[in-house]
Amino acid sequence: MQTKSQIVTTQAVIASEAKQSPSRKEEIASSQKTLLAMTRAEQLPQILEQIASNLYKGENEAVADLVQQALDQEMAPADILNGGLIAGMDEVGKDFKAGELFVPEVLIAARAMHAGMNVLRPLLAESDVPSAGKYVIGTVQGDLHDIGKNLVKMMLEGAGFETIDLGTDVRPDDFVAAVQEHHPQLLGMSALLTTTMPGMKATIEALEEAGLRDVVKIMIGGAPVTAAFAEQIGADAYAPDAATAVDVARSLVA
Amino acid sequence: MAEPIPIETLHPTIRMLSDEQIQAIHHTSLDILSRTGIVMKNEAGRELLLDIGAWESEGRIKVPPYLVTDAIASAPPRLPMFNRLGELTMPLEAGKVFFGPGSDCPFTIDVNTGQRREATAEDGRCFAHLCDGLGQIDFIMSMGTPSDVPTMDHYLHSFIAMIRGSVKPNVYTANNRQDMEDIHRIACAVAGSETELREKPFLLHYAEPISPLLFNDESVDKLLFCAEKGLPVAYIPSPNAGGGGPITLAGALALGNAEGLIGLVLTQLVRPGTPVLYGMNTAALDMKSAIVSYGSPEWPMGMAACADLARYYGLPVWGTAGATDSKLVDAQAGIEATVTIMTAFLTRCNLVHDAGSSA
Repeated sequence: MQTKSQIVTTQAVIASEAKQSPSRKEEIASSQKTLLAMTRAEQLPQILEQIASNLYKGENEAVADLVQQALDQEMAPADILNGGLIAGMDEVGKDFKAGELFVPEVLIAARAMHAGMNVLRPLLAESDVPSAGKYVIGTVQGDLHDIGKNLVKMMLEGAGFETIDLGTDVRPDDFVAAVQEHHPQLLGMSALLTTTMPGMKATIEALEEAGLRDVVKIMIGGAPVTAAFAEQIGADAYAPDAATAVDVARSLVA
Repeated sequence: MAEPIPIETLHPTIRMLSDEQIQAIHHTSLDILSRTGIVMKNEAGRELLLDIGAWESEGRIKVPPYLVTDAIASAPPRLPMFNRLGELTMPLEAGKVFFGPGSDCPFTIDVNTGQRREATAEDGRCFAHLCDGLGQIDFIMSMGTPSDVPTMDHYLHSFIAMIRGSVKPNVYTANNRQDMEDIHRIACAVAGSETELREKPFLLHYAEPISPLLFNDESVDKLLFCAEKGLPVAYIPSPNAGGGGPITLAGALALGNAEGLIGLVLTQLVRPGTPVLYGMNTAALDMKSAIVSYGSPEWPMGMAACADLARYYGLPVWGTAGATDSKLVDAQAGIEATVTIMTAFLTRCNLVHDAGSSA
């Protein structure tokens, strides 16, 4: 049910967007003109800044175009990734944590990140650029909830981590097998239920038995999970939200 | 129940949905079940549905509308709940509203120190005892998850704490079928026998599927256990708008309704006449903090709409009120509790839980 005032507001929003969007296009076009006018050395940091700021705004097409332009100008893929895409997602993460951005804005920014990554990925694979770290992630055995886990995964990818997502209801043995197969620096476990939290402890014990506990740093999270619980079961770290998870992951691989 | 006001002429109610809107949501739910289908992780639940005319395609079970219509017709419109003294204190039926607390909060505010800390089994008993003495509180839920018992046994200890603290009817949660069997054994001992428990049930089980349309093994197993024993059960989806459910309230209602109706179908297939409490928790996911907001306007609006759907189906209905997003007993807590309690009463939700909970 829409009230009259809601309809009026909606119309106002649509009108303002219609007004805004040509000017957005002009803005992008004019900044591209400015870029062309400059020498190559001057362009480099500017184009990275543009990638970052467009990513922040969720302009997925602009991000893909700008990444391609940067490549055409023979910038190194690793520089584009770190100085453009990751720098942009860092801003997103920072402002999300500060309560200035909300979940939908993070999702739109992540979509723009992926648009840029799609252009960059084949070249990154060729040039053997090291990722920020390899991260195996999953929801523990008996638990089928994955919204929080997916959000963490997305933010980690935004920070340049290579993630291996084992999905939900992941048995301790499957976490162990993934560590053996992928050799990650980090392992992340999620649980929404108090009754599935013991699955985190069981996984850590399984890693100990397999002699793999010391090769990987373990992070845990989820609504009922606390820092005290992480300490109690011998995990390396706890993160209360997706943005903090990135900071914690970075500090663990630093 | 609150003492009825002795005025026969004024019985104000509110409605959220028109008859056409109720029909539109009902039909959308039927479309969701027959076209999109569900993911059923419980083998017995899967066989029950497939044997009776549902079919499987692309890994999902599609449920035809007539199964839903049959289930609505076979579920009882009234759900009489007794206290442990054998008195009918909580007849869940049209026009009657009953209030009680919520369950399974990991933390509590210590009544002596005012500090937030993990809840204990003794807290559970004290909460039940307090509720036992409060005239406006009609049933018990465990409130706190006891941290001082083995983790896998905490539902069992919560149930025991409710029994020790109060004679009022209770709503209990459980981890799996093993928990259900243990709780059932205790309840039979308390009632005197399994027959006496069936005749005068003082307990109602609460379980949830996972929105959207995911029916996990344990929750279906617990639901089927209640149907096998003929004991009251509430199978309450939580399609929070923008999280597990569509961002619009109408979309979230259609999804939650579809999921709740599957619970109804399963129980009626096992035992026609199994007492089922219909309902859903339709809140908004707060996009700023990513928590399910108990104080959001969507919560009472969704509850009111859900009560309209229940009236259309002729089923007793679950409600949520007296809960807050605030971490303190402050003005925000007061406003959020007031709005939801008023809504629950004016829409005549029958069993209204979560008084005293803080998201």
